[in-house]
Amino acid sequence: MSAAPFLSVRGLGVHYRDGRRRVAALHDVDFDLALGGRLALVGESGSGKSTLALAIAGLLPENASITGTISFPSLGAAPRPGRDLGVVFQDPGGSLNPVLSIGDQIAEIVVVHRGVSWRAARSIAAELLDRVRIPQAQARLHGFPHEFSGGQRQRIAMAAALAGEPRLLIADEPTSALDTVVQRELVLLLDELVRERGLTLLFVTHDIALASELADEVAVLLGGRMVEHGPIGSVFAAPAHAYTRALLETRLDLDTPLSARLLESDGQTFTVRRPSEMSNG
Amino acid sequence: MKILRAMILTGEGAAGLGVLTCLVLAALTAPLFFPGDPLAIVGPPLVSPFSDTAYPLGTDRLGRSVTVELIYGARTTLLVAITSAATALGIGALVGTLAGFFGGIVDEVLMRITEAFQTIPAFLLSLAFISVTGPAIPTIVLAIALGAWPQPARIARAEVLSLRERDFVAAARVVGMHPLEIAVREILLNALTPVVSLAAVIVAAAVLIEAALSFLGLGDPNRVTWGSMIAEGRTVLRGAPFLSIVPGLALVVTVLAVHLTGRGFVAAIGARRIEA
Amino acid sequence: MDRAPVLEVSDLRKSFTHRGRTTIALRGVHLAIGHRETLALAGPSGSGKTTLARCILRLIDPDTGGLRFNGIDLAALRGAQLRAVRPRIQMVFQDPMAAFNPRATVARIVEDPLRVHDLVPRAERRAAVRDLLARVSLPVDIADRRPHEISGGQRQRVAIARAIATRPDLIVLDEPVSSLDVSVRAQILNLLMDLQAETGVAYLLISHDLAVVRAVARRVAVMDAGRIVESGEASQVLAAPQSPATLAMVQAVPRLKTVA
Repeated sequence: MSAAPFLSVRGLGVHYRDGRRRVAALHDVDFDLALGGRLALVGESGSGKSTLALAIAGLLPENASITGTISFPSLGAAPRPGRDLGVVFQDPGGSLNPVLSIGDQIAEIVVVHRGVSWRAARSIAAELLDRVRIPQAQARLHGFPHEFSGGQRQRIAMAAALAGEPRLLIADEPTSALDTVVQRELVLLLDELVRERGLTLLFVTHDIALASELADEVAVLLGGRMVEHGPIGSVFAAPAHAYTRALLETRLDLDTPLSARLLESDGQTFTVRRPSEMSNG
Repeated sequence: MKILRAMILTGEGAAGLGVLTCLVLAALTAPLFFPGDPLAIVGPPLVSPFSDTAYPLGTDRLGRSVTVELIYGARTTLLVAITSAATALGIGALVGTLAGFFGGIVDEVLMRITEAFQTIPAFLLSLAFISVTGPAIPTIVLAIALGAWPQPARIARAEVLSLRERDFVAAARVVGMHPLEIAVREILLNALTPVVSLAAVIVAAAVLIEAALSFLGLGDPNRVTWGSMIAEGRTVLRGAPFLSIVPGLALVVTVLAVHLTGRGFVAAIGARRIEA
Repeated sequence: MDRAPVLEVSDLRKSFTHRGRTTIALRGVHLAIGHRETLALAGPSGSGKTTLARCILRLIDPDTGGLRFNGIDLAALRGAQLRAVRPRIQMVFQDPMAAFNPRATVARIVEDPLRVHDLVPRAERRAAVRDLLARVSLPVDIADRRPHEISGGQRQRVAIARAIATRPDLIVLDEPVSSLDVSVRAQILNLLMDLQAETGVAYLLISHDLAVVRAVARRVAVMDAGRIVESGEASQVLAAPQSPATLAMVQAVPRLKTVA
């Protein structure tokens, strides 16, 4: 591939200062993401996946210190939040201002980043809401976030993230707080939006099946390090790291062979075993 | 306690606690270093401060040592401020918890009473109460508490209303705990944290109200307080302003120290929440 | 099933009125759970699963309908009589952090049911707590820690220890593994199945995760809009869903693609 990557991360480390202690959240992370690529960051709590996504979005808290580099070769300068990248967070509505109408919030983003008039911005906002399938978008412009369901709020958040016409969309566990049926709708919508706008997508999830449906590349994080990275099909067909293998072998889905006890993986060695009945798990 | 340690780590908490500790120590050891009646005449009147080592802060119109009066005044001030704040917090926390926990008619009645007290300015309420009962330490404490209890009551009630819906309260019910035990052990003790951060504000206000009451001559006449010292100094304000300024400064420093301690407490609690 | 059902729910109805608007949460629910059985309750959010669980636990009162537990009319009990039955029905909550008094230690959390119902003399309580912690594979020194100092998986084990302390006949498991890391889920589910095999306790498992339902429950009841729309053997219902609600849920489960 001779084209420069859209996103290039080299030797990235992140530490949080907590009183006198330094807590390391990420060590030595290296990877590239091509324009139009879709990368899933998979891991469990404490793996550093959210930290990595937030670092790329430029949203780390004040007590965090970064080593290494995050560069966007094609942008030439540091990415402008809202304009070059959009972010969708886990908590539906947590990213929406509760005292402003959704129309105002989205229109404001459009006005600031696309420099159009408020009137034009409002009609763009209505179009966006319609695109994310909020019914009666024009009328609902005046609605407030608390009047919508969790799934709808997340769709509004997506509209807001895309309002500035960014090139990169970062989604941090966007569906974890929603039930399965609503999650499916959201994932399909995300897939459509990314495809039709040619966006580059970086999303964080703990669900490897979800990752395989939405992404074409996957990076597995464990204890702040990237232990595996590659095209999602090959990584899941033939994982290199024991942790990835354990994740795959112990996962539960509707086709898992039924048995009296489930497969467990050891927290240190990631060896997978099935405890016998009547043994304490 | 971990909270204490965390408080000291914040600059504000350390400064506040430091000053308050000195104050408390001075107040407690007053009879040791300065035995006898603080209102006894010890020297010539109106000696300037820092001019005579026998009277480091000078003497007042009647020749009483300002230093001695100041330290004994600290005793009264701290006693009244802390007791009245504790009383206000106690009444407020109880009323607020009962209102929040039982809801319905109990809540309505208690809240109307709370509002009634809140609509009257605290100082006027204290003034009116003292005028009727006469000035003495216990009545002064009560007078100040009467004006201060509605605020902790509201905060306690708000906390209880939110805690009532939490899963761990439901868990306590599922375990089969008696409602009274749930009210005290699960809810009340957890509701206290924001109420306690109010303590600093109430103590500071109590210090000032007590000083104001004394200034107006409604304090306990047998005790020297900073307010009474300021009142005494009023008549010679032109010639010997230090008589009012010194106790005034003491008030400023105390109230500041209480506020800083309060802020240190709030910061320490907040920091622990993030840590968790 | 040759024993009488542990729990029998018949035509349970519940509605909520808020500011003049009435929402019907339960429209006549029927179900039964037997000894040593796991019945899963699945359904989209808003279907009434949580309301049903809260009615069964008598955290809220149903409007009408039958609620029989071990033959007793559970809906009719009040006050001290209700508290006397509580040791027989316990619950494990979804978010273990929220389910504990933030100021309590693990020892106190696990000891509470023993103390409240006076099941163990005071002198023996410390030992009883130790036994319970060991039963859920927790190290003994965890007893003096507080909930925020231990991991999510450990917290859920503490919640399970508290739930089994009184040797209940029925435990309501409300999304017991949804807030846990994927790698920890299997251990917790295996623990629950071990406990069931040992003690014969019945479980009402509430879960929106159909894979968990299929792995752990023998029977499943699918709820939609306050009613049970489908029920039967879990593996069968999920393999060949009949109702639209079940079908939507089954189709919504993400599937792992291993081909690039």
